[in-house]
Amino acid sequence: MAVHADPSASELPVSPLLDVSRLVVEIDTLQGPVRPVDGVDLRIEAGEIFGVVGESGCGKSLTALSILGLLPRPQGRIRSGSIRFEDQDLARLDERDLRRIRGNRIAMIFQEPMTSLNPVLGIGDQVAEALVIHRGLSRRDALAQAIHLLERVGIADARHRAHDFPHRLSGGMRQRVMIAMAMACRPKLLIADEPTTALDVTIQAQVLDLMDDLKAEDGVAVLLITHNFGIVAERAARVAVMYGGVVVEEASTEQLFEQPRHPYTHGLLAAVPQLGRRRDGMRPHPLSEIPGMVPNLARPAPGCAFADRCALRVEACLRERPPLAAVAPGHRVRCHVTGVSAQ
Amino acid sequence: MGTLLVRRLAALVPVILGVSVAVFLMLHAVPGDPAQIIAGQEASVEDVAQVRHSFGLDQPLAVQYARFLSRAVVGDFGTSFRTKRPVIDEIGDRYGYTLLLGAAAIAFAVAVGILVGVVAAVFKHSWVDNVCLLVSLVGVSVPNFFLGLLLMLGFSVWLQLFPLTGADTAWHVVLPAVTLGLPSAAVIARIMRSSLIEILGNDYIRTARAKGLPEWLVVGRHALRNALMPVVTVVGLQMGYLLGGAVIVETVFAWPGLGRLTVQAIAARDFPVVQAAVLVLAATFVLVNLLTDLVYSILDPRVTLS
Amino acid sequence: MLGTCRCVAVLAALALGITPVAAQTPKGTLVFASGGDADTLDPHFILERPDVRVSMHIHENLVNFDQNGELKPELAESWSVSDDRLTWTFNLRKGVTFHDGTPFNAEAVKQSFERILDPATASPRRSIASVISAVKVIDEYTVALITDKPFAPLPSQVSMFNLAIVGPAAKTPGADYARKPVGTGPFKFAAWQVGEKITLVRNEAYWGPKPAIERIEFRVVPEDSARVLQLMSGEADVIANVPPAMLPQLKSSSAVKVIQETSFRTVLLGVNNKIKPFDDLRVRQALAHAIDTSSLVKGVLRGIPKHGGGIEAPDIPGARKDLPPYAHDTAKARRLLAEAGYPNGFSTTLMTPTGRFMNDRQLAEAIQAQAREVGIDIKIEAPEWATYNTLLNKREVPLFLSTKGNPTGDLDLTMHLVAHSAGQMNFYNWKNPKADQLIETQRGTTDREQRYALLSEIQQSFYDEVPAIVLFYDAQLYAARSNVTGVRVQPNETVTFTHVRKN
Repeated sequence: MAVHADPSASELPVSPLLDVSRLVVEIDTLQGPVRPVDGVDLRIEAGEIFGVVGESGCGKSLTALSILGLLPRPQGRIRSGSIRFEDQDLARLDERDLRRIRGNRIAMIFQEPMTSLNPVLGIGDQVAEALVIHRGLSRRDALAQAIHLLERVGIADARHRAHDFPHRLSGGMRQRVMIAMAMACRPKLLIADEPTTALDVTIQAQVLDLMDDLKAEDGVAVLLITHNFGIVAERAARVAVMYGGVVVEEASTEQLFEQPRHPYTHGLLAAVPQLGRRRDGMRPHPLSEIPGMVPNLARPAPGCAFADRCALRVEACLRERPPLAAVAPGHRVRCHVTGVSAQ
Repeated sequence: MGTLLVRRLAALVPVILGVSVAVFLMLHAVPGDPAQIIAGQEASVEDVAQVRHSFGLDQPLAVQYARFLSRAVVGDFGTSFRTKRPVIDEIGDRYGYTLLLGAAAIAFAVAVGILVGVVAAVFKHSWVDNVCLLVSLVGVSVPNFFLGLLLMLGFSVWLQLFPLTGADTAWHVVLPAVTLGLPSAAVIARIMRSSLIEILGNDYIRTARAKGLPEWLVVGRHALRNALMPVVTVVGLQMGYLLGGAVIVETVFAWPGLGRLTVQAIAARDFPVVQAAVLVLAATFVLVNLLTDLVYSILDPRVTLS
Repeated sequence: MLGTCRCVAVLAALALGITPVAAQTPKGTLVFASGGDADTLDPHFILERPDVRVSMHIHENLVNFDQNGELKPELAESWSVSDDRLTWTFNLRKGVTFHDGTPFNAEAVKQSFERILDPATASPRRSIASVISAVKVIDEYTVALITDKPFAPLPSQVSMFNLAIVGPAAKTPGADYARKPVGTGPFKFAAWQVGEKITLVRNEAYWGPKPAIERIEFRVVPEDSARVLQLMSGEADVIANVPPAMLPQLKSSSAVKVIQETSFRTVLLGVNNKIKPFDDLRVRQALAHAIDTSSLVKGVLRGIPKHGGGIEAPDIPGARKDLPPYAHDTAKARRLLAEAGYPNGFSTTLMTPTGRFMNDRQLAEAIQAQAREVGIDIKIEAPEWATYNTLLNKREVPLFLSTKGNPTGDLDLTMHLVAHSAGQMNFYNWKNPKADQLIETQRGTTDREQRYALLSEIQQSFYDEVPAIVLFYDAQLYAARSNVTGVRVQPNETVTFTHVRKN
């Protein structure tokens, strides 16, 4: 099979729900501006669960935040690239238009359920808020619907608990509240940034099951960001692996696990002791087994970001950044070595 | 909650008792014979002795204190050495004014402090923020009496907007309250700013933004209430400062408050008035602190009165 | 330092030409602003000047002073003394009523005097009246005051504000006379907002010429600068205690005028004659020669008060006008110190109040510097007022700044307090048996010139023995809107508004 330099045209003719293309995010630091996201490409189809995997610092969370225009201000900004979502380029929208999308057509849930809810507001109110803003509901109607949503995410006795404050809830319950909040306006896309990392194992599964159910019922697409391959293996249809601010490999879950191409993906998978669709394999693993360090953002190398740590490095790797090239239908790899050799 | 409140109020009793003993002892330890002060330099020895006897100051200390306490329990604080009026009336005349001035000052301080603090935090590191910081620095540094005179010059003498001194109308409270409240406003503004900046970095603020809330709602509904917690603490502390600062402001603006009365009473060694005034101020302070805690528990559902 | 800051603010405003369009007080109302509120309006309990100022518009005395310091009839039309000089008969004015309508007569006078004399009243000023042993009603309008020993200054003694005639209402138990005084004066008590103001209204039934103004408001404005601002803005018509630093500015304004009056108050550097080395006359003389009072007045007091050497202010009838300050002569001072056995000087302590009279603290510092010139090393102590008074009364401080006023304008009152060895204000521990005897003798001497001659002798001894070094005679600084006339500032430190007109 031939290498497709521009795979979007030939392989995915239908326009996806979200198409992130060559996204570059710049953050000002004391050492000057750095680019933690340096040309990310992602495409997510309606109704699918799409996993993004990578170590912390690879740019996956910033990618997610930039989709919603929630980069830290004033030091963060989208430098270039586009984020196409339902015929709009989110990267070019102003704050007012972005606000209409946030919590409405794209919702997000965060890693820390303990701190992501406002401690001084009732959970019902916090869920209802988006409905008041985006649907123009009265507070009373919004609250009624919020109770409904809370019931739906499995909060028992939601009518009473809606008046509870977050500190009365367990971590798992809070994440359920977060999900209820995110789902309030029936978004098309749910960005879940490490939604279960802070939860213990049994609760993790429950929360992920809930997300599965919602996907099935509402047809919401989920951008599932995690560093845990186990979760991805179990829940996602497609996966992108990120490293050094770029996507290094993108494939269906089966393809990725059965035929990982990028040396970094290999390394990651090797670091997972027991690979496969095992429930107990969902525990987060530190990806420290790969020799070397995460690249220094302040002094980016001209070539492949992984080159320093790569066993398969060739001379071109240091000189030139490899393109994200298709190696099979729906399987793209950014590597001078493995990306080209595939047939 | 009700019982907790009662318990907190009951805790007032030992505080007041302790304060009363301390004040009593201090008054008698400080040099200055009330009878001599009241009677004046030119009074004869007989006159002074007469005055001393009429005040009961010729009794042993323990007897004097016991008499004070037994009367105070039933609300009788004796008569002023100076004016011969019941102390209750002396204090009663002034206390309302002090409360009014204090309340107006703290209302001003809270309103302005929060407003300036929020604006500075929202526009942090911009020129707006710098102006707010500068103004609050000036606010903390300018002495009360000087500020009072400046305000008098500007608003009373020049613009003729407010009366100079006295307490006849509601307008009279404006300048003293601003004078008294401004340093507190400055402190509150600085706390508000740093607290809000910190709160705005919280995860739940990101959650609120991700929900699509406009920024004013993010700040107003999600950040402000959380950011107010340290402000409430500071406001509680500032109340103590206000009670102290009131003396100067009351003097400059000829405001007939308790602070001025207390200072006059101390200078004249008018023991009954000093004693009662200090007790009233101490009780006020304790109650204000209780009120602070109450506000705290209203603002933050995680806090309970205990 | 604080005072300076305050003045700066006001001066800055005046310099910037912020002279406002005055907010006028109502035509019939006189607003007077002073630093302190009254404590009581019951004359028998009055001790402080703010109380006197109000009370003397409400109450009247049998006899009072006119503008020239001469006794004039008030509630008594005439008076005479018996041949044995023990019975003073006063013929009372007829047709006078108290503000509550009760008639003024001999019985009222008797009740008033007996009230202050009654130990049960517990007046702190009983001693002022205690020369009177009995009060006798002769008829409706004639009353006699009887003394045990001849007491020549009795008429001026009864002009003292503590001996004003209180209404019979004072007798009623629980009447709270201190708050609801009922006198015979040209103004009636109307209202008292404690700490804020006292309002008097014109007594329409007044026996004498009716005042032109209908109301007087005695307002409390403790802060000096605020008072000046009140005057400048027209919120006050008259103010008391103008800060000397603001005099030039006020004088240059056409909207206001300064009322500067002399007073019967002497400011002096007291010396404790019992404490070494001040028990030696030569040391006291040396100190007197070391101090340059004219430079103190010029440098510290802006040249406002007068200075002289006599213990009594020269304006008081019978006071010596011919006693100059001790000449400033450091060589002589050193010589006297050497003779006394202190060729290298010595160390001592000077106690001063702060803010009780004009620039008191600065005055102490200037004295400290002048004394250093002759080798006297002075340490300054400035306790607060109540402590100062207590220490003064213990008579253990070597040097102290103090003052003495004279409310009756009769030398007997102050000479007895200050110069008599048993005098209550003889803080100097000055004991001169001859002076004691002279004081007693003059009390029984009804011939004025003869009495003044005796008093003159006492003043001479006080001057010669320097138990205290006279620094200056205080000045009273008031200011008024320029449309206000008739403010009478009296040298005995009272002020009357009865004759005020507003144009």
